[in-house]
Amino acid sequence: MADLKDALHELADRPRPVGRPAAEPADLWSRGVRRKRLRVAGAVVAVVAVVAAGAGVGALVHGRRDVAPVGGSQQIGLPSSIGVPDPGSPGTAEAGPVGPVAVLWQSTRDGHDGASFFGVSASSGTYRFLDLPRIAGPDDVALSPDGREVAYWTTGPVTGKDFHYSGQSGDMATVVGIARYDTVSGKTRFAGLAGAHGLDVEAIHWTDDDTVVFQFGRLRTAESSVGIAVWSWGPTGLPQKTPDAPQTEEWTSATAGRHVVEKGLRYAVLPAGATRASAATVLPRLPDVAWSDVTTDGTYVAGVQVGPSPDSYTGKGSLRVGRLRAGHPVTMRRMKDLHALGIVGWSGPGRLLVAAARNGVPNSAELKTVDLDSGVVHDVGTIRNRNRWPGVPQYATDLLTKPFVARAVPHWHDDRWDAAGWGALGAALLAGGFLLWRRRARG
Amino acid sequence: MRAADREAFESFVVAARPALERSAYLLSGDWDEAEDLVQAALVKAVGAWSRIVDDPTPYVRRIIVNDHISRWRRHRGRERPRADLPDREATRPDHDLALALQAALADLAPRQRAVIVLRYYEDLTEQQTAEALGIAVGTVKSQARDGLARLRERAPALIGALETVE
Repeated sequence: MADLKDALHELADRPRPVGRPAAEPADLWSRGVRRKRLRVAGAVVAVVAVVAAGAGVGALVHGRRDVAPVGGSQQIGLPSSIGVPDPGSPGTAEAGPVGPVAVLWQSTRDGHDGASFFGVSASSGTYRFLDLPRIAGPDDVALSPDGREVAYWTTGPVTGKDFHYSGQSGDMATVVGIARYDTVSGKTRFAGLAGAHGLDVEAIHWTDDDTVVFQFGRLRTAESSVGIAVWSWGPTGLPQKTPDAPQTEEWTSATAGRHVVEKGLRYAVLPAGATRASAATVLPRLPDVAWSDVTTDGTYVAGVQVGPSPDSYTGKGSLRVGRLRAGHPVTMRRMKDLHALGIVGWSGPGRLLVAAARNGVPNSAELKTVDLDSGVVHDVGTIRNRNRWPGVPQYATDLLTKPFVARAVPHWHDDRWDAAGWGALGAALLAGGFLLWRRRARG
Repeated sequence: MRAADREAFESFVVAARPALERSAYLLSGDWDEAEDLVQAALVKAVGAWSRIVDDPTPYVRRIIVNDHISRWRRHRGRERPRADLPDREATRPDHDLALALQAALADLAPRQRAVIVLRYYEDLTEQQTAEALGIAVGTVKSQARDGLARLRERAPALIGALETVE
């Protein structure tokens, strides 16, 4: 092989696995035309909405779009079904705080580039976009276990060269600090952390209801940073550096005062405030495959083995579970017939809550509890509209032990347009049938 | 939209889709993902077809790259590729090198990977690559340099191949 170009061609020209049949060009054209018409219709609707707002009915329109509590229930719990709200739904800046949220997820929002976060009230089921001041981007936004706070990286001006770089994605705005948004008061606490050029940041996790831990370094160039360290931020004061905490390649989960970290496929469970000395691996090395969402309750360890092909970036994974025994390697057994999209958390000792693909129902997922002792699986909820926003939402993990509560899934304006379209079609057919009947009756 | 536009679009799809999918595969590392990316980009291109009919490839390519980066960002931390080589048949030196390259590409940040694919697979100039990604030429240079260094670090077997592109 002569050079990189040849190597790339060799890789791209390898026989591909047999996949689903490709869409016909004519079908792609039809879908493109429909998409364009929908976008035009959406733009018209937006203009009409703006005019309506100017005429003084905006408040009424927004009032209708806000998803109201269902059945007057004020029972606190996780919603048994969730979807994404209408992009025109109000945000906390205009409608006020939503209160402790049971679910934090992303969706598109009118007038905002990229993703916006919305919360689902734990007590009423109300959906509301969260206006998070100075948010740097969609990565690493973390809901506290009690649903009371949302922690996220913030952006702002820097005194040195602005590298517009953060973490691996390189797509967030320059990060200069961290913030905690209070879902009850609507107030935000900010902490500036910046060096001259901004921060190189890693994931944010909550170790309990009040303490958030995070890792960052100060950018020196666009690709390198210095002073990488773990920091902790309690309920009062400012973030404090945890001097001897182990730095990690990835923090996979945090719960009940401890978090699971990964370094080179070796996983460790760290109590809050752990040091390098105390971070001796509680968790033995896992089998050498691609994992996500590795977590433990102290007795079991669970993770999603990403697949099906080992080099895949996408697709469902298989849920694998092992039992921890001191001094013994972990054998990770596969939970049959569970195509896991992600692990939500522990709903009790040895009881795991996972999001799994629904067989035969595209764009929808099921929440299931898995009893790791007996292997019994129960369906407890659904996640809808995954075509409108993929991935798995964040749930307030303190509520995982409580019963799920029936809540309404919001309607999208697309749904209303669909309904209006079918209604108009039905009316047209009725009118046509009536005219035909009259002509024949007259003839 | 005119029938002529539709015919031109369908001809473009038939002619360009295999190459676009191969390029998308290098970006994503997954054939299903590549087909999804290309299909979504082609559907989006219909809306702009009258503007791009003379040369639609750069427009479609840009959608593919941007969609891939967006999808990767959304899924960041949830799924990631394995760091080592898959255990597969390897009967020819070329095949070994391709597998090493595949694993090393998977370890690059998505924008670096896009720069490598556009520069050295699509054979675009630095200016064309910058336009396709919506970034500065200087950024293309630095991303290419860093990407090659990363490939060299992750796949020493590629050193001979990589020296020829320095």
